[in-house]
Amino acid sequence: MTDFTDDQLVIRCRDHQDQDAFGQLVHRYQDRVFRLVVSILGQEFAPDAEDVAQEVFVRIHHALTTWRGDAAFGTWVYRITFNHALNVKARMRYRAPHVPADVLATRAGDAPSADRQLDAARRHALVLACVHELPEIYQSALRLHYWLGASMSEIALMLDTPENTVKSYLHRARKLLHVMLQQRGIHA
Amino acid sequence: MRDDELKDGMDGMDALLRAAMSDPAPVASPTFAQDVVRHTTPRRVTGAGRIVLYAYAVVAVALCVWLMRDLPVAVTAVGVALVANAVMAVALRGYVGSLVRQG
Repeated sequence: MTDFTDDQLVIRCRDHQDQDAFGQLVHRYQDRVFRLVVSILGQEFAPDAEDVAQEVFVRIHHALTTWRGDAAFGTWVYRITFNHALNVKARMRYRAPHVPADVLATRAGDAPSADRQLDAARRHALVLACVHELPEIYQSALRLHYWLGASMSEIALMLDTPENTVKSYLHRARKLLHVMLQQRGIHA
Repeated sequence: MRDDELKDGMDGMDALLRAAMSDPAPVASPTFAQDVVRHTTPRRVTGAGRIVLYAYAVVAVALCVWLMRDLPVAVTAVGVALVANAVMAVALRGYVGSLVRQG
């Protein structure tokens, strides 16, 4: 079944209820869907990414009858993933995790260069907080590039946009972050 | 801001982002695909479940006929009502099944 194209697998799954065909589709797309979900949810909600990615595939399974083949199957999958992850993130904002200050202080206090580590941790936390304020597409591009190590072509595929546009997203995101951090007294 | 200052800033920004996002990237569990397929596979009635359902249908029909034995209703009418119900149940099963498949 690994030789089948996406379209053939979709037809087998949709018209013949072939679960093996759907399993093959999941196997083919699971890494990218998972990474795209993680890139949208961000570091704080990464533990929820697996559940969200599973929900995405359940939605895709239910929506297979509506897929007409106008766009590539992958493009359709990434669009559903992006929209669903954004919706989930909007709901999750109301239960943002909280790291108690004493935990941070204890961890930093154990190390020999505690002040420097604490300072670096604060800088990094501030950078991540600023990333959160960027437009969603910039956030996703940044996390895919810097955190998940995705290549430009992979990011372009997942965000359904040309590679040059991805480069432009990253450049604009860095510029915005630079300004935001300067306003907060951090010079990159 | 001069161009070279901006370029230095961008390089620094690049390094800062790499450092801030240096946590290990999460990975999906090895059973991810199996879990998804399990979630999306329609549940089939087991052999024992099928026997229970058939037994229920037979008992329900028998009980119905027995309870209606003294009513002034023709046997043909009872038969038609039972067959009509069976047809309706099969049609509804098909319709609900299609709704489930569409999500």
